[in-house]
Order: sequence, then C-alpha cells, then structure tokens
Amino acid sequence: MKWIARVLKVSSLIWILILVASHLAGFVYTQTFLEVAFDYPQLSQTVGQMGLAARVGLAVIMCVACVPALVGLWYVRKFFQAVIDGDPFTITAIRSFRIFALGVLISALLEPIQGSLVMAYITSFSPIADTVWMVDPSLRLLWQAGVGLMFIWFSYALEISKVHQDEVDSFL
Amino acid sequence: MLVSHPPQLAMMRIIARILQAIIAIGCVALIGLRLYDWFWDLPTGTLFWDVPGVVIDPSWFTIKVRLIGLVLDSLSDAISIYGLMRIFLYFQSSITGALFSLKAIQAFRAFAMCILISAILAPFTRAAVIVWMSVNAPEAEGVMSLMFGSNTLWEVFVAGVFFLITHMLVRAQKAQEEVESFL
Repeated sequence: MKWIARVLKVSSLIWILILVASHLAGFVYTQTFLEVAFDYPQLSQTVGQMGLAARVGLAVIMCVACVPALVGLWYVRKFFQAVIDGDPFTITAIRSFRIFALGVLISALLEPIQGSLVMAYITSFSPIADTVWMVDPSLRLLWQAGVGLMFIWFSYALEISKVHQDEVDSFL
Repeated sequence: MLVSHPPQLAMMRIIARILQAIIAIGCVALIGLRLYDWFWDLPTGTLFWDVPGVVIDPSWFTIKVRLIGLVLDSLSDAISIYGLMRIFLYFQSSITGALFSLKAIQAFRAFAMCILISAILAPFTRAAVIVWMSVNAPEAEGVMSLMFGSNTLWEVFVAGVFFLITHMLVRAQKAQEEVESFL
C-alpha cells in the first residue's frame, strides 16, 4: 500500500506541474492551444489579434476550472504522506482527502461554465461574430463529477474508520 | 453489524444514491453515444477528427465495417461499464447493508482494475479503429495513429487512488471487526 501512496504523491506533484505548464503554454500559444479553435477556426484568428491585456484576461478565465483541481492535488499529498507514515485515519489526512475530492468535483462542474465563458469572451472580441454563450456538457464531465463524488463518499468512510480506530485504541 | 454513525452514514447513503443515478445515466448515454456515432453520425463523428481523410465519402460504410468498428471502439468502454456495474451493485447493497464488507473491497478492487485497464487500452483501441477504417476506406491508405494524452494519465492516477481506497477499506474492515469483537 505504501508504494502506491508514494507513487501517487509524486504523481500528484507531476500533475500540478503539468497543469501549471499547460496553462502557461496556453497563455503563450493561445491561438493554437484553445480547443475552441478546432471547432471554430475563424475564432483562432480573433485570438491571434488580441492584445496582451485581453490575453491575460483569457488566461485567467481558462484557469477557472483548473484552480480547484490544483488546490485539491496540493492538499491530497498530505493524505498520501499520512498513508506512507502508516496513520491515514487522522483529522488532517481525512480533511486533505476531502479537499481533494471537492476539488475534483468543483473542477468538473466548472468545466462547462469555463468553456462557456471562454467562448463568450473570445466572441466578444470578434469583429465577425456576435457574443456567443454556449454550455457544452459532455460524458467526460459526468465521469469526472462521479469520480469526485466517489472520493467524497470515501472521505466519509474514512471518518467512520477513524471512529472505529479510536474505539479500538480506547479498548486497548 | 456496523456501529452506528448517523451523520456520516446518512450522507454516504445520499451520495451513494446520487452516484447510482450518475452511473446509470452515464452507462446508458455511453452506449447510446457509441451507437449514434457508428450508425447515424459516422462521417462527422468526433471519432474521426484525427483522420478526417478516411471519412470523406461515407458510402462505403457497410454494416460489417460499422459493426467491427463499433466493437473495437467499445472494448475499453465495455470494461469501464463492467467496473461501473460492480460499483453500482455495491452502492445498492451499501445503502441497506454493511459498508466495510468483503463485497465492498472486491467491488472497489474490480472497479480500480477496470479503470486502469480501460485507460491503458483506450489509445490502442482507438488506434485499432483508425487502422480498421483506413484499411477499408477506398480513398485512403492504411493509417496508424497512437495517442497518449493527459486524459490517459489522469485515468491511471484515478485508478491508483481507487487502489489505495481499496487498501484503506481493508484496514477499515479490520478496525470494524476489532470493535465488534470487543463489544
């Protein structure tokens, strides 16, 4: 079990780096990075013509769904460390896992809102298109939300396990 | 029997019911989407963004080509659905029965294994679909495209967390048994 926790702890750090790097790359190469450019090629030209301030605004909007996931990944490392230390049923460990679970869930729920905001933001700069509001939920988001909820479910299971563990300790 | 913990248990039961609904909707939608992709929307389906040249003329999509394509495309989904069904049945029993049972551990382990296999298999099944379609397409040469994206890495990470959850449930079950033996 401990080796899985070690691998996951390193993986979560790598994930944080991937998320930060991909968003920085997204800021620098916004024109080709945006998924919206594949659906609406004419908008990539609009993004290409944006000024620095407008691009910063776009980069901020593109972080909306990413931030909760980042916070969750940062905190879950405490939980993995607690597993490595052999004491996962502590308040700190349980709380850090719940923050991670909430991060995954909130990130999944914010994803379509972020897509909509990005679309509206870009089209508001476009000289050829009216501002478009578009919510695009997908099965992947349902899956992500489900995973987040399962993690929350497990955080409650951890709480109950803590109570059991405390009872065992009090008996001993 | 489980020692009573009303606040947590009540919340877990609510979450379990929501998860059951999500799993049911997700599985039905996934099957429907695959059928729709292969039998109604093949020329413009999302599957062929990578090799658009393969599907310029949809007239050669015979039932045989579509069926084999569907089977190849659905392999990783089928594994995921099996894992989801296992966890669905566990949530069903957890609402009325014990949380930390052998059944729970087996269900979570099977679910974690299914996610892992599905995540690793998905790029290869996609590559197999592209090969199958491009070999059969009259206007295209054989195309091979193997892609590993951040989605694959994330699924592997999630599978790892679920393996860890399985181990934690084993510990939780032991703690529960100890409490019951003391009582």
